[in-house]
Amino acid sequence: MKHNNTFRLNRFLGLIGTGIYKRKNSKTFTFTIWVGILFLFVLLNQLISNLEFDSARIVVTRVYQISYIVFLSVPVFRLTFNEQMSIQWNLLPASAFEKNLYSVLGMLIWRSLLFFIVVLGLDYLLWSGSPFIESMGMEMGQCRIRLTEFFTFGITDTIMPRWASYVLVFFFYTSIPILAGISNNTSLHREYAFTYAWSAYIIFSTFINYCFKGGKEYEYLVIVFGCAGIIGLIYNIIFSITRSCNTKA
Amino acid sequence: MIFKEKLSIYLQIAERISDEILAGAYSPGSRVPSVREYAVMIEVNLNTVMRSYDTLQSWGILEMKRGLGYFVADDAVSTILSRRREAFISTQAAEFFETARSLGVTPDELAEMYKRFLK
Amino acid sequence: MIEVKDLSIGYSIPGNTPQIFTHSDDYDSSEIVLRGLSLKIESGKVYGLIGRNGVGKTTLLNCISGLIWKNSEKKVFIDGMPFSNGNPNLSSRIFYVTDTTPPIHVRVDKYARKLSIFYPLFSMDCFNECVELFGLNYKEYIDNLSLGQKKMAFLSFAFASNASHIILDEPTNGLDITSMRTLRKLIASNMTDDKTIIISTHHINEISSLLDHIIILNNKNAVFDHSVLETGRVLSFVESDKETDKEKALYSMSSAYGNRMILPNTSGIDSEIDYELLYEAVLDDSNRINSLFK
Repeated sequence: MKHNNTFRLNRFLGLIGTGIYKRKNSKTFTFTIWVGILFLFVLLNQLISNLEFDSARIVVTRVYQISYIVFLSVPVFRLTFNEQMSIQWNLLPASAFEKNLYSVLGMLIWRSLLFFIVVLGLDYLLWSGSPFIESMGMEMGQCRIRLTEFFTFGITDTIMPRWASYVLVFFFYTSIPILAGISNNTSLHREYAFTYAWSAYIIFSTFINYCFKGGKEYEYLVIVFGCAGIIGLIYNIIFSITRSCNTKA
Repeated sequence: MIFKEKLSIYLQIAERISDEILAGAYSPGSRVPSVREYAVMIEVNLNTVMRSYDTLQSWGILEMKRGLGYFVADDAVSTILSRRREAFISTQAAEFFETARSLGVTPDELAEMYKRFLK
Repeated sequence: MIEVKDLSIGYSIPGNTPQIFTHSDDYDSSEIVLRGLSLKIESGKVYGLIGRNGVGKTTLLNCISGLIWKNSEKKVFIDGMPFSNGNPNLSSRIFYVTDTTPPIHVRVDKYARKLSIFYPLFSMDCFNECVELFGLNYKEYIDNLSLGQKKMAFLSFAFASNASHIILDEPTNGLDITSMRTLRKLIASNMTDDKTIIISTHHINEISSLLDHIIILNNKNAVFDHSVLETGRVLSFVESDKETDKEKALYSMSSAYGNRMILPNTSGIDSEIDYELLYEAVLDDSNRINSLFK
């Protein structure tokens, strides 16, 4: 029986795909507290953008970035299973080290890869040609946002299937231009917009989980939001096209 | 008043295979299923079937040809019949005679009944 | 080969997870499930593990499979090596089909492929064969299967894994008659000299023809641990309507016919084992029965 490096790597990758790694639903109370603190970060973000002194702003931004990531990553490290899954996980012939490594890194890498593709794709669709565009490209701020997005997906996976998460996020992204249009705020800060979308998504998903307690009704709700999101997308595209036509004219 | 002692499974299987040989399912000189095949067929422990085959081999009913499997011995039928005859006389016949004696059946009556039966 | 040496398991706090107790632990204030249990489970044999509900069969199997362990106290040895969780070299020699199978949201065939990474001897051919025999749908999600189908899926994984120790906890639960026959055939066909199968069950008669060795658990220990061969040689299981025979019996149970009894075997011919009778006799007075074995 060989247990050389190739076999270990296969096992590590294998752990990712077993699908038995499922976390138990976190208690609503913990979630509410967590969401409340998230709100504070959102406010802090708003505060940062209002600071006048660049150096102070940079320091606060960095502190905010780091603590945001650390804080959001905490629930990911809280590994609780339902008992049956836990038993199967423990029975899988892999070393404790491999399983822990997977828990911390594997899932994040896997989800990050998946997420990069979805979010960057959405970004491209929504923001290119939009009046709210800032410079595209992977600035430090964007990296931070991507990371926080990966973590938050990780958490809401406990309360809804992944496809529902994507649809909700999609909706909140596409609602930004609509809301910006309604509030006549054409200079909606880009980072704030992203934070808004993510906070709103987490709050909303927690709320409907609490209301429907994991029942199937939320899936129908999510589909409705998905349709609304598509409408928002179409709106945004039309708006961008008419805008660029107007500009040319 | 019947005293029923059940034979161990491996002996029951040996008897079953003997029955099959008598019925012609396996003719003398032909190959019987391998131990594993038979175990799977009747859903019995492999070691138990192994013991059955070993027993049949020791009684001279089966022969093992190394690398080829187990084969029915040429004189298997007569071996089985003579074994059964002995068993009949020592156990079943004894029980029957015991019952007959307790019911007061005479030897002549027994002979008469058997003659009638054979017709 | 699995060896269990002086195993004691209990709950220090009722309702909590079971732990292994050592001599220094406080036995009196805790709920003990197993006390000082020692077993030797040899290769090439099918073991039947029987006992009342709650006697500790599942707890014992959980411990043998590495789900309950204590790093400072090695109580379970696989092929001579001390076993605890997180040792893939030894874990891959065991496949444990638990009583309640988990609702994993993965397709049956995909999960098989995943398991093949962890069990080096995994055979997809064997897996396909099992699935066909059980009449399962490869493409179904495990959590969509019925209780019986989930059991059959996991039994298929077990045989396909080619692990040297296959442990089945109540494998017949939820299986219909045809599936039970398929299970028996699979057990019969998968046995080799280097494999061990341990079956824990309430329904001993369903698999009795497959057993090499019987272990009966009672009173926090194994009260009967003998081979089927020796049992049939040492004991005689008879059914009689003669009341006088009852006096000679080690144990008797009335039946529709008369009395089912266990007597010392003096005929020199191996007897067929009446497992239900044996079980009741052992529970009644195990010392009496065990005294006949050398």
